[in-house]
Amino acid sequence: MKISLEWIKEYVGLDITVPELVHKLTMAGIEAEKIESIGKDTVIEFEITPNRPDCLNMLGIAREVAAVLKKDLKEPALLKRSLPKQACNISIEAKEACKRYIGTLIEGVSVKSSPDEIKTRLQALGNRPISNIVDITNYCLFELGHPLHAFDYDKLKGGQIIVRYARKGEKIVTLDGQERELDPSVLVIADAERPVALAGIMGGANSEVTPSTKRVLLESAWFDPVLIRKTSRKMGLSSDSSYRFERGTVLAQVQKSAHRAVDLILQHAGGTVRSYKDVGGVGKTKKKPAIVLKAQTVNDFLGATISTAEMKRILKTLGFGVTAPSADALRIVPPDFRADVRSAEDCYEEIGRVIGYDKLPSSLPLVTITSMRSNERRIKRAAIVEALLKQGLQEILTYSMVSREAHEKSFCAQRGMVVLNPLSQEQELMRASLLPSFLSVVIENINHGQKDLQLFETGKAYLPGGEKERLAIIMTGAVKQDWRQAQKRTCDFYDLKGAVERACSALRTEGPSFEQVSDAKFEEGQAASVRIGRNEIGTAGRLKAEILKAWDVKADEVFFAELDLEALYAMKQKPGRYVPLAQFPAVVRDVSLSIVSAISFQDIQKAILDLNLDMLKEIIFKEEYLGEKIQPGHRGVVFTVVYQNQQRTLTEAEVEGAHQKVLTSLVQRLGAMVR
Amino acid sequence: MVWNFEQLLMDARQELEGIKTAKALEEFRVKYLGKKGVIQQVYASLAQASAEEKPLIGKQANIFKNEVSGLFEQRKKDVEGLEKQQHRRILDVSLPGVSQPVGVRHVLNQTIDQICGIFEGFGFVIEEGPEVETEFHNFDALNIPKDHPSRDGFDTFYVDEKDPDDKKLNQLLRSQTSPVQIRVMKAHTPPLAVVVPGRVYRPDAVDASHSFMFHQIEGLLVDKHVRFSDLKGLIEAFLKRLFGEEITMRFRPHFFPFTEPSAEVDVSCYICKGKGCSACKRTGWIEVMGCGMVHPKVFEAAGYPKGKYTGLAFGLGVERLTMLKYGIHDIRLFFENDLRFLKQF
Repeated sequence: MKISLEWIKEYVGLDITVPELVHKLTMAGIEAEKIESIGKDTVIEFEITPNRPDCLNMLGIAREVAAVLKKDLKEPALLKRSLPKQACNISIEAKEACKRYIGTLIEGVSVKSSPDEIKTRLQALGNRPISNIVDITNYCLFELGHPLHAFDYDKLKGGQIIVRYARKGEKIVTLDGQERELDPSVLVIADAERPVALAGIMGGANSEVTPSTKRVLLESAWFDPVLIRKTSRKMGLSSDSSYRFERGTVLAQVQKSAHRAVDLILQHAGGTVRSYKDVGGVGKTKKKPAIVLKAQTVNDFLGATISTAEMKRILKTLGFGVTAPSADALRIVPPDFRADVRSAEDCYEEIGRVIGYDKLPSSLPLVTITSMRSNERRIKRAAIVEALLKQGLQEILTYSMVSREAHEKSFCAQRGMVVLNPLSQEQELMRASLLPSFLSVVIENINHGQKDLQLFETGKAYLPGGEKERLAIIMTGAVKQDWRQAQKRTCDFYDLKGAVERACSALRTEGPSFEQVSDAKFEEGQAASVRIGRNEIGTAGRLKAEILKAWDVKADEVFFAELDLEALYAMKQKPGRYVPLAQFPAVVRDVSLSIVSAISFQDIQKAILDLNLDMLKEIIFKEEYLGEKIQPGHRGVVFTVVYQNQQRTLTEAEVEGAHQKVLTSLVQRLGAMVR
Repeated sequence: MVWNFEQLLMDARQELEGIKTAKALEEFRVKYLGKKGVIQQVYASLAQASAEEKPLIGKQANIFKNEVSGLFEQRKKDVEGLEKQQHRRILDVSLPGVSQPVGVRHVLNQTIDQICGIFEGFGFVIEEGPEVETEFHNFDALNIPKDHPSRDGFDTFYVDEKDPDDKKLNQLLRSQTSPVQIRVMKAHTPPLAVVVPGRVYRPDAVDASHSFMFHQIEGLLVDKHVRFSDLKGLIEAFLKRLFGEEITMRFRPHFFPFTEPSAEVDVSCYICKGKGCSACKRTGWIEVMGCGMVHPKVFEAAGYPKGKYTGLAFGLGVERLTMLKYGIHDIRLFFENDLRFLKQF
């Protein structure tokens, strides 16, 4: 909102520089955004917060200036005039939307150009002068903040004003020349036959004041802020008038503004007041309840030492009614234009901001130590993130929403929540899986020549019924190369599995097991369900070629895993117990088997573990061999078995005996051939 | 047999001096000190010597053996040194070092960690809350009027998920982290001091400085005698830890429905040091956060007894602070996840 400094000077004396003034107002919550010189005048643009519609005019800002500069405020004087006995024909049908409407009919006006003093002031604020009548309505709007409108009375059919909702099919051409279709949600000012203005927003061309206008009907009214806002938004039309109505105007100001405008019209356009009607203005407005402030409480709250006299001065200059029932108490009645002040806290702010927050003391708070713990998930998540970063995976952060198309081409089993008011296709759905988000990132990077990717994110999936935290990992391309190694190696399922295991071990859960599974998004035979104990916590595998094709991912193999973090967080953690160091040497035996391919390493381990050998310490996988030397349908598996006893050194014979049992079991239970 | 030990020793000495390799050295050892070497031959010949000659020759043989052994050991050391010198490899120490690859925490999470870390140091705990929220938590409880424009579909995303407490209402994507204040207050009795990081959503058209999804950190301190001066002191201490001891800051009165009084906080522009530049729109100040004293209506919504507690609250935008800190010009970079961007931090 722009103000003219020259104009402000009419109401308050200024004896400081513009930068000083701007600083003081900013520190009082009236933040200056732009300062420019226009002729002799200085125009300052302020950002007025929504709670302060009273500052959307010259007098309001002058009041603030008076308070921070400790000056007196001179309000414009209204002329004494007796009201005519004759009443205009005005009625309000939409009583909730229009609580008060004052119409004043002035006859014999001469519509011409405004005097220079009015034109200059309007021009300084960027308002184009039109004619004395129109300019005066705008002048009053900027001066007092209450929007007004003037109709050419002779163009009003039936000489009548009705405030009502539009009828279906009605249209109006507004003053900006646009024809607008109306519906019953739109409040209009109508004459006997048709709408003549969009209430509170803009007048209609059919009732416009022109140089030939002789009789003017001046409107000063109160319209419902929410209704004006909704209509303004719906029509895509906002004006100085709607801007103020939607922030809230004051019922009591309706009459004052009408009075001021009529004074100015009579002064600059001549004419006489013929008739007048105040609809809705009969009942007295409810008196605001008083707020009682204790000076000590104010100071305790602010952590300051402000005198009662200073508090009183500040509130009085701001227009508050202040009395002092006792030496350290104040009884306060906020003015009608300060609907935002309702409680003691609101008064603390008034006192604090006029003094200036920069002048108020600062102290260090006492933070009471309690047993409240930080969010458990956050602690666990941090452990997982750290483990994966150390593993060399890059953390990413992706949007929670995806397009329907992205969702569909990711073969997700479930759909996420639907966003009811998306701005674009990219926001149609909340994601049900992190996969679509991840594929976008993979494409983005491959397009920039970054083909070797190992990425992860801890984020949410938003399924019907609730949001669920997930961990997703994606891998494609070569694993990080070292210049000493000639051979490039591309990442595979086991890199993915390693990362998943790391994530689990970061929480010290029981190690996850992996079992073959069929899953729509993974290649058959290259997908695993990840389990801890009996609980499935996610899946991991190689993404189907169809998905890569649908997304146009330029990579041969992409591996993806998604884990349910809520399930992982809920897993029991292994107690961190110390294991005494072995005092006696371990004995190792290598085993090389040829075995039916379908038999998993887990089956092999189980066949050995089931023997319950006391001295068995560990089974370490060494190598998988798929060469020609192995018969079709078989594969070679090499591993090491470690034997150890905590109490003594094992003898050669003992180890040999145990190892023979191992081999025999493998041959007999699994049909393995020892190579 | 008569041995000319002097001659033999001279020959051996001469031979040794010519030896430069371990191989030749070994040949010398076999020739003189080996099982069939000269010295063994000398001892073998003692068997044929007369009784008078024996002690003499034996003595001379011992001296000869010691001399040759000594010379051999000496030469061996020299040759080893020589060989080492010849085979010494000169490393190109300028070749790249090799380290294990490590990932980089996403820069927004780095900012969140840093800020939460500062408040943890102050004795705050970290809390989280749901992103899909009810109107009650996101608006009503925060003293935002029923007809407030921020509730419109223009300013808040709604989803097809029903409010568990009022099946007529749809849930929304929280437009601020403040609803967690209410959840925390309902679950705990003061004193409490929490910070809450998280994702928030607003239907803003995407451009270099707007995103429909971004991150906020919310803070809340509630106790029996929290003062406005405490709010100033806390924020000052925090911003100095974040930006450095030398920055200056100012509190400007502002308006938020859930705090009263409310303030916005500016720090002196770190680029122009307050002189005015494009980063601070020539004002010398950069707005970094909003804060205020918890509104009594918020305590009421949380079910706290009237007048029993006072509290302070603050909130800041993670993207904005991160952009300021690193001079990042486009908010979209955070969510594009281009490795060239992510690896810089």
